[in-house]
Amino acid sequence: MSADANHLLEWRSAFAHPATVWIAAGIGIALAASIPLAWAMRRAGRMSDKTWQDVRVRCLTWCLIAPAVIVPVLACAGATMLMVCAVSILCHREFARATGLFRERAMSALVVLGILLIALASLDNWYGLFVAIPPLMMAIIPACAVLEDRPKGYIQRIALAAIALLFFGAGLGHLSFIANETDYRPVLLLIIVCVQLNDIFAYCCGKALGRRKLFPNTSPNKTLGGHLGAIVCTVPLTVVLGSLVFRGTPMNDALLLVGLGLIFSLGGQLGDLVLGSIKRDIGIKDMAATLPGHGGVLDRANSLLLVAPAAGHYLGYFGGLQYERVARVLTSAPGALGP
Amino acid sequence: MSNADWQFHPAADHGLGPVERLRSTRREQGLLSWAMHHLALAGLRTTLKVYHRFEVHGRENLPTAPPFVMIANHASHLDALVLAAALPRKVSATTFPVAAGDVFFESAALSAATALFINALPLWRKRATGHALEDLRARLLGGREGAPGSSVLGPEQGSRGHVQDSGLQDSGLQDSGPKGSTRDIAHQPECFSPVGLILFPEGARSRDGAMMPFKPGIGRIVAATSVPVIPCWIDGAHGAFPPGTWLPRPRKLVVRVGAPLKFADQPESRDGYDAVATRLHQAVEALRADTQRVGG
Repeated sequence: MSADANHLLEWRSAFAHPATVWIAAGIGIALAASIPLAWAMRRAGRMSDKTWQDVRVRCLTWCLIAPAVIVPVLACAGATMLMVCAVSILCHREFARATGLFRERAMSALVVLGILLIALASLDNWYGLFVAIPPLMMAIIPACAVLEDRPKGYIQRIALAAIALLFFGAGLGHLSFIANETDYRPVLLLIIVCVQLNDIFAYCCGKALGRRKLFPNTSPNKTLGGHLGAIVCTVPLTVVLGSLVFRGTPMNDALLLVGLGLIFSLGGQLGDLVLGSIKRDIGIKDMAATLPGHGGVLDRANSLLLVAPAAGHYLGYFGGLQYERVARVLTSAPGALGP
Repeated sequence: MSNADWQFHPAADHGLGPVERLRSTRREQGLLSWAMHHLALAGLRTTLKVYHRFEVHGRENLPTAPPFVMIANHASHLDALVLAAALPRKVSATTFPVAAGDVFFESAALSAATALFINALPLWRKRATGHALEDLRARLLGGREGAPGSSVLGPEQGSRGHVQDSGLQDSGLQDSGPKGSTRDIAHQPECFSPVGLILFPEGARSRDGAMMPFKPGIGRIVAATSVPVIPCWIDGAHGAFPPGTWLPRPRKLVVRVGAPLKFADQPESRDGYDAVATRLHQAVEALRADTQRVGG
């Protein structure tokens, strides 16, 4: 097996990078401490019964979500890519069932095909295919829709399919392609942890400080205090963790890390609001009821929709990702180029 | 430009948890379940053909589009599979065999297998109310009563409210989902597409193979509608896979499909439901006699 193929299954270096150890340990401690901490706050009268029930269910669900995401990332690049592909398909499924796109089986199947091809391009470390899939599928989807000879609802069908492909295939797919990096584990953990903590910071700050509603029509529970609180907490966290993750790379610069923190915080919150707008337009509260306390998988992954491509290209541009391996893994074609 | 024309119709089972969804009469097939169902049907048709030398007589009477109800005698777990396999492929995806909830939807794993491979809807027989039948009726017609799309209602149906619970306590087709999974269509504002149902009005499998009287619950589903009800006689299923056995025997299976019947003129009352059940029983009995006469 080639060195590049070995990378897909390489599990021995799971904790080789010190930042991976620190972040993984932090996740474990946070999960273990979350429910006792909330219980103590409730006992101290700092939390209402309703909030306690909400927090308890959310924390218990986190105890299932976190290992389902973190273990594949720690295991190997191949498992990470398959996990991202599975999350993409689950997000598409929820989106399709919420919007009614699932009744258009051909459109829905083409989106799944696009997601699978993007996963394949990631597994193959074939950047050319990775960036070619979205435009190619955007040619195929409208063309196939024409074959049905059913102009009524044509724009809506292809628009929904395009949104699904771009958000869940191309957007989340960047997390998959990052796994081709030799030291991908701390980078992915940084992205996932900071973005998810950003959500939690916004929730907590909103509960504690939130007064003025910023987007009352889109998401009535979001407040200016929550938004600003999330930025104030997430940016320093990103700078601290980022300096560990990117030690020895050009990204280990305070200003660049502040920029990364802003991408995490603003991108995460905008992703949340994007999905909020979609849900408001449809007239539903949650995309699904798969994860108790959280709604659906998409309700949990919405913050990553915009962050994944933005952070992936930001890190690529400023040297946080080296993309040093340029050879394909599964296919071999002369002239294959990296990014 | 206005985007007011963009209307979204979430899945009718939207908001239900994974297991609850499998047990709901609101369940709509997604891409994966559609593919698995069709794969299972292809395997089923091949198995029936090879192992049971399966034959369908009276194909010209088979429905070509929903809504419709297929009913038959019930003496084996093979019956629902046999009727599903007899249907044309283009209506398979929109046809739901109605299966006993207390048998086929008791555990999560069994619910998943029954829903994904057979595309069945549950009917919980032990907790009797008429609401489950209203749910099935609403699902059959393609939506809440009076909602757009319910174009198959009979002439007396325009202002129909909730049916009185008039004597269906012994219908054998009554139910309420034990886990909050039914009683959910007639009270929802969503519109569905009409579907086909496969039902066994005897309410349970015959232990000796002889057809039992039909329960009036079938009347509650189809009375005062123009939905075609297709009577069928299944021959050989009791011998092939009788109650109490674990593996089907390689006996020949034959389905005789009768001419569709409509009950738009039957009132929604106990008398009307009884009349529907009696008429259908006669139709299936006639098909049985035909089959035995042809078979010598």
